Amino acid sequence: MIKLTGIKKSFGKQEVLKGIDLTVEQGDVVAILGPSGSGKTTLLRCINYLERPNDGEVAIHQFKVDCKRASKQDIHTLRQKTAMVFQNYNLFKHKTALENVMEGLVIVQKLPKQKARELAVQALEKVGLGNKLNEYPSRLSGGQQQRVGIARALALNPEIILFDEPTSALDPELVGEVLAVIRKIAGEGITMIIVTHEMAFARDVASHVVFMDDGVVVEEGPPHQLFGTPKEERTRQFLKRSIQEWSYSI
Amino acid sequence: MGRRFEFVYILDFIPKLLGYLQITLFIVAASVVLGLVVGLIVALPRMYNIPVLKRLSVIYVSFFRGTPILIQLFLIYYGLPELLKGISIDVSKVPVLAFVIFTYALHSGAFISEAIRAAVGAVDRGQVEAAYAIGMSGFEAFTRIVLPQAVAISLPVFANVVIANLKDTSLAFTLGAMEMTGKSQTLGLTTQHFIEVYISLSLIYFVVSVILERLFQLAERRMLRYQPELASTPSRKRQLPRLLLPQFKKGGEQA
Ligand SMILES: Nc1ncnc2c1ncn2[C@@H]1O[C@H](COP(=O)(O)OP(=O)(O)OP(=O)(O)O)[C@@H](O)[C@H]1O
Ligand SMILES: [Mg+2]
Repeated sequence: MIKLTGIKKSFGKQEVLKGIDLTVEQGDVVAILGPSGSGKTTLLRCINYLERPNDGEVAIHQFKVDCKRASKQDIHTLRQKTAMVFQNYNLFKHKTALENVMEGLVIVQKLPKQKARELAVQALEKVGLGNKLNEYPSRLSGGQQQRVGIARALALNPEIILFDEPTSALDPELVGEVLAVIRKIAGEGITMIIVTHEMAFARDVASHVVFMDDGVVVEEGPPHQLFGTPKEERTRQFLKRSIQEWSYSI
Repeated sequence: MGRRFEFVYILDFIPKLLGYLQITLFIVAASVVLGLVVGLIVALPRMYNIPVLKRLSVIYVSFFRGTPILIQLFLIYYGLPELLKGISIDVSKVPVLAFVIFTYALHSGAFISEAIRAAVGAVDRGQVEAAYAIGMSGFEAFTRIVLPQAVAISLPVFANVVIANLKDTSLAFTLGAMEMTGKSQTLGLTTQHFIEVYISLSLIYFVVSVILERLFQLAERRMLRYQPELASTPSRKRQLPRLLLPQFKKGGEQA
């Protein structure tokens, strides 16, 4: 279980997160929706301390970190328990697909090379890239690069994977293959939080949907409730606008 | 000036000059290695935005990039001992070569620091964040992710620094250092065949430059094999004109 309590974050005078509470159960797929600038990315980055929250608590099972006095070791442990998939993939450009996935296993988890290689191949096969092990990112399509990014996260066997708009940098025709992979691993019971603008995907795949606006959680609930009978006016407005703008379906 | 042109002297001078090539190469190697250290040290305050040191490093870099190396040689060879005398350190026994290497190290350090800065900046922040996100320390992220890419990216600039340095060492003869150009002066004077000795000398510099250029190209192609342009153009034709006409440009312009 991942539990965020009272997470606050400011950049200078601007308060971007105004006290976020969020609970993610084992095996949950949580979709976070919200307008641009509402703090979705910042929230994800607070969970693995790419941004340091100003206040609040991050708990993963029994492991609790009080944001005000997180030590280097705490942060390291949090990062080992989480993995992140980035909007721009952020693959290591000088490493092949296989090396990208192995890097964390060898350097951080200190697995022997042979074992790391096995796990990395498995992860890459799972995302359908068993035939691209030795390609450099520059030779892969955006969709393939993002799938390497997912394999890199998956191989680390984290408690939770954080996805930040994993398909929004992709050409429309490549979105489907990446969503299909995420759907597949969601089906395997991996806990994840996905920030996304893909409404149809969120409705289908998420077990829980969170609507954020202006640094607060406005409304949350199971997808049929949030999409079907939203309680808050702000949620209704947002959904109305989004369904028009983002009318993909897969 | 001098005697009538005779071709055989060219052939005669080459082996005599080659005997001093090792000194020239030693100056280049020593000053480039020191220059790397200096360059890294000087680049750090600017990469990490350290207030006063940053300003000093900017001044250092613009001075050594903006003044002729010959003047730098004179300043350090004649000026530094005076300065050190002030704090009663006597350097009159230090060989000329040490001053030469010191100057060239400071000179290349200025160019190298710019190259390092540009190259580190060229590795996008996102990769570092990805490294942090999988649990790497700052040191691991720098050495495993940023540095290998930065080195590969700055290799062309570094190659230019080395080759420019090779040619600049010829100025060391003005202080009486006995490297290849210094030797050519004596050969010219004793035989009075100046043209021939300069032809031999330029041939040697040229060949060494081309060899260095070629080696760096190989290294570059190997280290940058992850980049699409290099990975997908194994054709040799495209490289040939560059090989025959080495670009002796120096510094960070192309980075
Ligand atoms: N490093 C930073 N420094 C200053 N301001 C920042 C920083 N990162 C984010 N912000 C600001 O915080 C606010 C929330 O940003 P965030 O990226 O979390 O929004 P988002 O919900 O992910 O938006 P989008 O849907 O566009 O990705 C924005 O106003 C943004 O300008
Ligand atoms: Mg965002």
